[in-house]
Amino acid sequence: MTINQQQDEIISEFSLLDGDMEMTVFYIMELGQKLPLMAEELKSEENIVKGCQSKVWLTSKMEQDKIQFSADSNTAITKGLVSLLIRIFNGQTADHILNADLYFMHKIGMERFIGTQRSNGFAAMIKQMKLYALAFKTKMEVKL
Amino acid sequence: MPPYQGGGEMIKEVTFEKTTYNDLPYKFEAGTPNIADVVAFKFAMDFITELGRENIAAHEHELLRYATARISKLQAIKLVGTANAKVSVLSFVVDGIHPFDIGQMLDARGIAVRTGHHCTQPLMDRFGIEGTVRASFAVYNTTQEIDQLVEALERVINFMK
Repeated sequence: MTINQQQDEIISEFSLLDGDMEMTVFYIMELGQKLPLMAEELKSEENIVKGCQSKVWLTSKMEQDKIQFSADSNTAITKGLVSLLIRIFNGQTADHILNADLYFMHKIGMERFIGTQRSNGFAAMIKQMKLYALAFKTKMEVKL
Repeated sequence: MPPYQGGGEMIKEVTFEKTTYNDLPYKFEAGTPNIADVVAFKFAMDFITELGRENIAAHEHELLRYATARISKLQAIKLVGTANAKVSVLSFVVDGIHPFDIGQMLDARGIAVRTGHHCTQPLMDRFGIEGTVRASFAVYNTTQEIDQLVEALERVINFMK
């Protein structure tokens, strides 16, 4: 699935919640619970995303030109939010991630239910994921 | 020290040759004074005087007593700070649920609480916790609102368990 197909799928899932704030928050936490566990040794100081109020650990690896992220958080909602990004970006190439235009947050009205502080934290996660993509891209170009 | 902002009563005289600033403190008070708040402040004081400070204190104390009794009965909740003569705030932690998550879920139901370390990180370290959820009760709150808070907390705890 492409990045935009993933986004569209998320938008259609959230539209079923009909703008109910509480259900939306519950749903995000449920998504977080389904996120594959992150190995404890990866939850290191250096994998913490800066700019998040909650603790978020994020790391990535390259598998046959595709990037795989893994993440965890100490709060359930943030874990749910990062799980959305992982769903969109996992298995994509560095170029696709770098050029991705993320529009799903606006479409699902995210700023309405997560507030400014979390929105900033969310932007920090996206930035960190794009930085990983850039690092992998640079590494590959050096090899060539 | 030169002023970093201009405008309003901070100026004494301006000519093409020279600008003279007003005396202190006006020099550093650029712009229009906060007139609206000064006017509103009178009404706030009238409100407090009319109700009577003792009555306000009694009401807040009753809200705190009611909330403490109800919330301490909830499963998995631990109150933090239980001094007898404290102001009308109720801090608590819920086993296994981060304060930020509780705050967000209460917010989704229109209930405003404060979450986090409340600018007292050393105290949080002393208790061995990351932060608390804190509900504050004031003169304009009601016991019905506390019932709603309790009901919302029950929902959150049930969902997360």
